[in-house]
Amino acid sequence: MTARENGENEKSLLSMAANLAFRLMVVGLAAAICLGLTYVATKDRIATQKEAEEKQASMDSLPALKSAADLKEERELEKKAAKLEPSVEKVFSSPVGYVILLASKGYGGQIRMGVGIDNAGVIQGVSIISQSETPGLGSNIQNEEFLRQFVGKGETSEIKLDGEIKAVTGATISSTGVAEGVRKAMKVFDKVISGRSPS
Amino acid sequence: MSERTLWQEFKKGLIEQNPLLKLMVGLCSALAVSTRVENGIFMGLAVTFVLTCSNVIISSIRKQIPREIRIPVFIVVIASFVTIVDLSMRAYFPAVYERLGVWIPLIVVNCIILARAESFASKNRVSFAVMDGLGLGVGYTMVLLIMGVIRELFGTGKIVIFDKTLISLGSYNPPLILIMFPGAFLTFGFLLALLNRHEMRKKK
Repeated sequence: MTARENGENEKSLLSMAANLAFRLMVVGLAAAICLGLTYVATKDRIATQKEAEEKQASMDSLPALKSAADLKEERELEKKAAKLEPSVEKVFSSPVGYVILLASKGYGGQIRMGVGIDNAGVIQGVSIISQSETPGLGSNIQNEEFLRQFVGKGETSEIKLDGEIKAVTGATISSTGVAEGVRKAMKVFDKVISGRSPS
Repeated sequence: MSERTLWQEFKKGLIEQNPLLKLMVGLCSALAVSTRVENGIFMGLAVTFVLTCSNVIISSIRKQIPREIRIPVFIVVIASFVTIVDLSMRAYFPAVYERLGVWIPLIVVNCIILARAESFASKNRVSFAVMDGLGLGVGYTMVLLIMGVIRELFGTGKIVIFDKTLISLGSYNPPLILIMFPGAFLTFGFLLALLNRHEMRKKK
């Protein structure tokens, strides 16, 4: 092969690569524009949905709370809590107590929940925001009979499956996930919010 | 091959080339989400939408896309539609989105869609590609619904759609295995067997 042929080959190869790259770029750009538009169109609604979900969970886990407007997000506490327990998503304060939103590991994925604790450190309620446990089995952790058992507990040592808390039949892992989450919330309350020494 | 009609392209996806029962692609997510009828409706809609839209786009740009880069182009197109579905579902149907969870983003790697892009949409006219996407999408949804009805009704004792109980079996004690993973395989296996038996009889 002569030097000239070599050069020509290289040139055509280069122009082919440029052609491919250009076409890919056009496709990528068009996709990016479409996605950007969808994102802008749905962004606010997704944020509103998420907020409503969290407010609802907070109301459910603090029955004494009269209106969701009394909830105040505590960003400082959230930062500290997240250092202690990375799964903590939000901390709300209110005149009647605190709500800690966090995620815990279940059988089928994350169980996101809200734990309401009054100012004295006693659990007022637990509500499940979202879960992907087995329908009809693990999903029963959302039932009132199971969640009710946590109400009134004030020490992490009391949150023990098949001691004080009866697990959902056939769903030990899901139940453990919830209990674990409640324990984490209490730990956060003890160490970050109330400053009292952990039990 | 030139004698094909649009209706034929649509119809083949229902039984003859049903993605789940015949081509056996995209089974993973189908088995996972078919625990409830409601899941089947939304998953079916999502897959049909992504399949049809990506078929249309890929078919209409097929002459501009050199072979060397076709796979990345397919993936970009498919992933874009999946993300659009993902975001809109999260905004408008948060409850269902929570339940379908990871399966919606995973439509990107669902073999049904890439398989149709590669073997059909990139070689056929747009009108055919539309019908192909719709047909296979409907076929997919149909199987999800059948499995959903069987698994939800007999596995939980009732069918609940949009928080309304449609059918309830009363004091029936449901075998939980149906809504767990083995139930998916059992239900699917029996469906396949039924279809095969039916077709063998027809041949005789």
